[in-house]
Parts: sequence; structure tokens; C-alpha cells
Amino acid sequence: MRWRRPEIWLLMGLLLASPAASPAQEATPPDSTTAAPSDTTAAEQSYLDALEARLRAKRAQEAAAGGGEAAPGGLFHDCVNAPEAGVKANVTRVNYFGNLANKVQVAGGGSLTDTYGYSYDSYRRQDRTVENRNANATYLSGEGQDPYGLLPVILRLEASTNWSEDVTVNTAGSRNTKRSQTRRAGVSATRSRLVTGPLIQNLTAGWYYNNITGVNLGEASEQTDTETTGAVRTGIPFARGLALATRLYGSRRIGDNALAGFDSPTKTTGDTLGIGGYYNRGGATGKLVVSQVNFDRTYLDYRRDANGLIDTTDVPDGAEKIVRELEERDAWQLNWDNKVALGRFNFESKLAHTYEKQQYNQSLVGAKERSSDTASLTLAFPVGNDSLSVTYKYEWTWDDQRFLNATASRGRQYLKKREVAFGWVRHLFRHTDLKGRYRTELSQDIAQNRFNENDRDRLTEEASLELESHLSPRFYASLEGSYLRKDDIAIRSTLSANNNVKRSYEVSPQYTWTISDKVSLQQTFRMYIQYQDYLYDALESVRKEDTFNKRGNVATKVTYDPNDRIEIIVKHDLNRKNNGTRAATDLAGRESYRRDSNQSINRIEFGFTYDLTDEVSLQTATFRTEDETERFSGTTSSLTANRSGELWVGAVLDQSFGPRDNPVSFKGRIKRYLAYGPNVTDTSNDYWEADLLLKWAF
Amino acid sequence: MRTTSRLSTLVLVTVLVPLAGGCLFGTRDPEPPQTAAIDYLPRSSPSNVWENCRLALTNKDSGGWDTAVSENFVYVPDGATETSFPGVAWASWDKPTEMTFIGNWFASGVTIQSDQAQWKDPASQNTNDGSGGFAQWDVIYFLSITDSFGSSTRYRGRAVVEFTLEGSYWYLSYWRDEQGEQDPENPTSTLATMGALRGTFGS
Repeated sequence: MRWRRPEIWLLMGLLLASPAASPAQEATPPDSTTAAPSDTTAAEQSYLDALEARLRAKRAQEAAAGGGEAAPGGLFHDCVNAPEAGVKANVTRVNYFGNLANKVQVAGGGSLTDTYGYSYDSYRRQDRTVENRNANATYLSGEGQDPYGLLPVILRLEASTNWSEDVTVNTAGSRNTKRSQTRRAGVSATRSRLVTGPLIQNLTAGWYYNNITGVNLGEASEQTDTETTGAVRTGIPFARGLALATRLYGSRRIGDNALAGFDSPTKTTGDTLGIGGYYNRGGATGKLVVSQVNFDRTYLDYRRDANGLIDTTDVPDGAEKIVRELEERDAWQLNWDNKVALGRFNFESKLAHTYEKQQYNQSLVGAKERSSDTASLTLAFPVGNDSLSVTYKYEWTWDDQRFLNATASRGRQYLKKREVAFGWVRHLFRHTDLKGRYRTELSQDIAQNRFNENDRDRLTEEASLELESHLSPRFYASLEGSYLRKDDIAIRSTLSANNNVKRSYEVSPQYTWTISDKVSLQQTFRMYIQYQDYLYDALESVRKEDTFNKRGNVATKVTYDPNDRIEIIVKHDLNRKNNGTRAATDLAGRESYRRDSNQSINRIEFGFTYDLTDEVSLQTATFRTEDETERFSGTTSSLTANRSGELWVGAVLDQSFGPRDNPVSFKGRIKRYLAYGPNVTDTSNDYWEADLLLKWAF
Repeated sequence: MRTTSRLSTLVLVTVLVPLAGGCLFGTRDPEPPQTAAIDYLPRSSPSNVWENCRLALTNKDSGGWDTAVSENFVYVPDGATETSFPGVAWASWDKPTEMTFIGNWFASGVTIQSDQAQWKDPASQNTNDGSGGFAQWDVIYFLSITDSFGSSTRYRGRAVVEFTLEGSYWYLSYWRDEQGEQDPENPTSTLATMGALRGTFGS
């Protein structure tokens, strides 16, 4: 059959497996009180992947020892344990943690995984500690290449508990203990890649019990519910390079909710419907996807003001600070992404429309609507020795609100953005290119019927030209000139007095010279000037004066590698800065400025790395800064000087020990910091930074 | 002939695109000012930039906030805010997100009050003008917000804020709320940080 081409199957696989397309995520309400406990984090996943790798290595060893045939025996086999412990410390906090995971294979292709974790954070700048404990047990009936050995579906049994306590004492000595515990247990069944005629389907159904308790600011909360979910995702590769995919998801949670001494039943229902067409044919690739999300939720909440902020102080007479809220949300989205290659021309477009409506039964927020249309069009093509690209972007969003019990809407708040960008690259001659770039963007805030005074236009225009050359393998140089203009225009008379235009000009040559295999030199020069001109400075009531700022900067870096084990880096940075204000304009229109301040900053850095062995590296670095500022006022001036510096010494260790085939690994990075200067506090003048991890799998 | 055609295309594109930009991207004509300008201070020190932030808030001038905040701005919420707003992408809170927050907040019809002593509480520490183009403060701030219905909420927090010298001006480049602080009007209660406002108006 023609549609059984590999790329179609790949496309379908990506489509069906894509986490971004998961309807479960779309339907999850943005609130902790109903959100399921978080899925596996990246760190946890990495840890479990390492466990899986260890299991595969163990099987390979057993296969090799057994003449190439791994022979599992009994109900449980191939048990792997992976303990790890570590410390992470920086200027803000010290984190101690320990984890234990074990995974055992079960007869029939299943597996049982347990994880236990503990962490304790102590904050250095605050009187605060955070403690976390978690445990999780998961049984999977099948996994890997053939997950349906035992059952026609992948059965997942899961139970977990997460506990945390955050104790914070504020500056006034008031202590708050924020404690929460989440318990979750349930079962789900999944059937993937079920082929029925031309249809490829993924089916999932699940049932879970959730219990979430918490205390914050002395107020207790609890939610207990049962959760039922179901999802069907279907792919139809109906022609070469063309495929259709649909997804349907539904969930329902029913239970009880308690908050600050009040009790109430709680219910959440949500559904998602999505349909997408995917194509890769005739030089065009892309997708057109439509999705719709509906969501209703009844729960206890604090009384909120018209902006959705908790407001328990302005409660009307006879009313409670806790309300039984009904929240409804409907949203839909249309996306069309397209790429076309026609000869030398490449065209890419992205169009999107989203609309969302949200309504509250009790909150003074009332009903809110939000809509967004975006477009991005890019055309790239070569012309002789030149490469050109033109991009146009457009965004038009608005939101509106009808406050609770109001008879009319507030009015739409619009945001309109337009941007055009032009890129140009020309190959001049051997190893030398000229690059040009121009971009302008207009952003407009518009309040319908002038419901606020915040109408504003912001115009940005920038252009740059860069000449870069790799004159030899050892020498690279570039020269860049750039221009930036920003117009900040408030439309209404109540705010327009500050309307201004900022113009910046910059020239920046730099080079990198590899003097020898051991020594390299890099220098960057930067000259920069900015003018700020007020549009209504001629009006006496405005009292604003135009200003200028200019700055010169030379940065030098020398790297010296005397041998394979040693690296030395020396850097110097010199900055000079002048500020001024326009003092007068003569009859010929020439402007003169008076100088307000001069500033000079000198900074020198030194870094040294010595690889003592393949496993141990010693490092140190230091910097010193001198900052002198001279301020002028009339005929007098004042000079202030600040000095600051830092020194750190440390080591990096990557060591394994114990059995060669099953070593214990220790990785560590530790530094001691000593610092002085105006930014340094009692907690940052002398501290340790560490990242130590000891782990083993057996 | 072919070279002429290429040159024509090149000139056409390089000239037309900026020209089109100039024509299509004109700003609207503003109304002449009827009030005095907000008296922003020169951005020549971290103290001035912090004061400019207060002036921008109390005057609801999003342009003033945009000018004070660095293009590399990063916001990190306190633990209570993270718990209360789990749906917000805090890890990617940058300058555009900050300006979306400011735009939505100022458009909501609120009145914002904070005097100099509240915006930089005397209990704040290390509020110096930095060294070498960098300053780090340990600041306690207070804001009082009244919405269009007269409902008022207060925010007081302790934060680590950093200022950097970029180009030739100082900017507010980093803001990490650490914890909510005591309510001056009701010492037994603890107020939320500005993270609650960012969580509400940031998207």
C-alpha cells in the first residue's frame, strides 16, 4: 500500500507521541487545588533513565556470562537498586538530598519501580527551611519493544505520596509554616498503535484517587476526589504525504473540598477535541490544527476583587471571606504552519488564532474574553553573491471583561504589533563577508472607548552593518556599526508630557589573534552614544531637558595554555562614561550640552586551572574593580571611589571506585568564595559553593 | 543583463523594505500634554532607577517602567507565589513578560500608591550605588492598590534586586522576591509580595 511509507509512519509516530499534543495537559486547570501531582520531572526522569541503563548493562553482562542467552527465572528477576546522595550549596541556599530507586522485572514482561526521595533546604539569606519527602511505586504490565506480552493493554498501577514543609520567618519575626501533602493512587490502561484498517489509534483510560491537604498562613485546606479520564487519539495516513489526526479527551473529578473551616462538594469536568491535517508533499510541509477545550469547575475559594486578587478585607456585611466558586472556561485554537521551497525561494509562514472565554460565578472578575491573531511570514532567497531574507510579523490581541453584575463590558484592550525585518549577507572576497540587518517594530496599546488613559505607541527601528573576516586561520576580525531608535509615545494628554525619542549609535571593532598554539589575544573596542530627546521640552509646564550619554569600552583577554594541564586567563576591562544635559541652543540651531558626570571603571580578572590528574582539577579566579565617579553641579564637583573584589579557590572531582564493573561514582565541584565591596553582605563575603553527588547502582 | 537584474532586485528590496517600514509604521499623533511631566531622575545610579520604578508605578506609566527595566530582566518569585500560581511560566519570566504584566495591570483601572519610604523601606539593606557597573540590594517594598470598585489590597515583600550598567545607563535587571512581609496596618498578618500581582496580570 502506498501510504505505508516510512516517513508517514514516522509522522504518525511523532504526532501520536508528541507530549505537546497531549490533551491531558490542555485540560488541566491552572490551579493547584485540582492539579494532579506533578508528572516525573526532568531530574527524576534522568535518574530513572540511569536506572534503566544499569538494568540493560546487567542483562548484557548476564547474557555474556550465560553464552548469549539471558535467562530470567521466577516471578521477580533483574533487580537493580540505585541509591544517590548529594549536597548543592550556593550563596542563596544549601540543599541536601538523597534518593533511592529500585526496579525489578516481573514475569511476563512487566516491571515494578519504587522511588524514595528526601531533600532539605536551608536558606542562607533568609530565615527559611524547606523539607520534602516523596515515595512512589509503579507497576507496568509491559514495556519496551513488545509491551503486550501479558495483557492486550499496558496496565499501569501507581501509588505516590509527596510531603513538604516550608517554614519562613519574615523580617518582623513572624513565622509561617506552609505544609502540604499529596496522596495519589490509581490505575490506567493504554493501548498504543492499534491498527484498524487505515486507522492507527492510541487509547487510554484511567481512574485515580487524590487527596491533597495543606496549611498556609494558619488556614487549612483539603481536597479529596476521584478522577476518571479517557482519551482516544487516531491517525489516518490517507495518501502519500498526507495524514489526518484527531484526539478526544475527557476527564471528571468529583469529591469534597474544605478551606478555612468551610466544606463543600467539588466537581471538575473537562474535555478536549482536536483535529489536524499534516502534509509533506510537492515541496510543501506543514500542518493545520484546530482544537477546542472546555472546562467547568466548582470549588471553594477566597473572595476575590475585580482583578482576581484575593481580597478578604473588603468583604460586604454578612458575607463570608470564602465563597463556593463556579469557574467555566472555553477556548479554541487554530494553527497553520507552512513551509514551501520553490527553486531558490524558501517561504515559511505561521498563522494562529486563539480565543478564550472565562467566567466566574462569585469572583468580582465576572467574565473575561481574550482573542489573539498572529502571523509570521518569511521569504529567503539568493541573488548572485547575496543572500536576502524578508520577514513580516503581525500580532493583534485583545481582551475584554464584564465585571460581576455589570450591565456592560469594560471595553476591549487592544495590543497591535507589526514588525518587518530585512537580512542581507554578501560574500565580498576570500574569508570575508558583509552582513546587514534592518528591523522596525510598532507596538500599539489601544483602549476601546478610552476606558483607560494608557494608549501608547512604541516604535523601534534598528539597523546594523557588520564586516567580518577570517583573514587567516589564526586571525579573525570584525567591524560593526549599529543604529537604534526608540520612540515612546503616550497618546493621551495625561501622560504625553514624557514622550521622548532615544537614538543610539555604536561602533565596535574586535579581533581574535591566536599568536601561537599556547597564546591567544582577543580585544574588543566599543564606542557608544545615546541621545534622549523629549518631544514637548519646549513647553514650560513639561520641564524636561534633553540628555546624552556616551561610553567607551576596551576589553582585552589573553589566554595562555603552557601545557595540556594548565590554562591561564587574564582579562582587563576599561570603561569610561560621560553624562550630559542640553544647556543651550544658539541662533544657528547648534546645541551645546553641559557635562553632569564622568565615570571610569577598571576591572582586571585572573583565572587559573590546573588538571592535577584525569579525575581532579584545581581552579582559582580573582577580580579587582575600581569605580570612580565625578559628579558636577554648577561650579563644584564631587568624587566618589568604590573598590570591590573577589577570590575563589576550588576543585572539580570525577572519581569512580569500588568494583570495576559496578563502580561507585563521585562527582563534585566545590569552591570557597571571599569577597569585598559595596555589594557584599554578611552572607556573601565568605561562603562555600558546592555540587557534590555520590551514586551507585547494583 | 543578468547582473543588472540581480542589482535591481537587490536595490529594490534594500530600499523598499525600510521605506515600507517608514510608511506602515508611523505612530499616532499624541494629544498635547495637559499635565507636568513625570519627574524621572537621570538613570545615572541604581537609586535613581529604583525611584523611577516607583514613579512609573504610581503614575501608571508603562513607558517609564520599560525605560527602567533591562532587556535582560529576570524575575524569580517567592515560594508562596509559586504555590499560588502554578500555571505561570515563572522560569521564563523576562522583559516581554514583565511588560505584558505592567500593561495588563495598568489597564485594569487600579490606583497605585507608594511613597519613597514605603518603596524603599528603612529596614532595607545594602541599598548602595554599587561598584563596577553592578549593584545588589536587599530591599523591602510596600504598595497599596485600589481597584475601580474601591477594593484595596496591599503588598509588602522583601526582595533581592540587582542593577546593571548597560551601555551608558543603569537598569533594573533582576528581581527575586524572597518572602512576604508584615502588614504595617495589621502587624499580625503577613502580606503577599508583588509576585501575586505578576501571577494575576502576567498572562
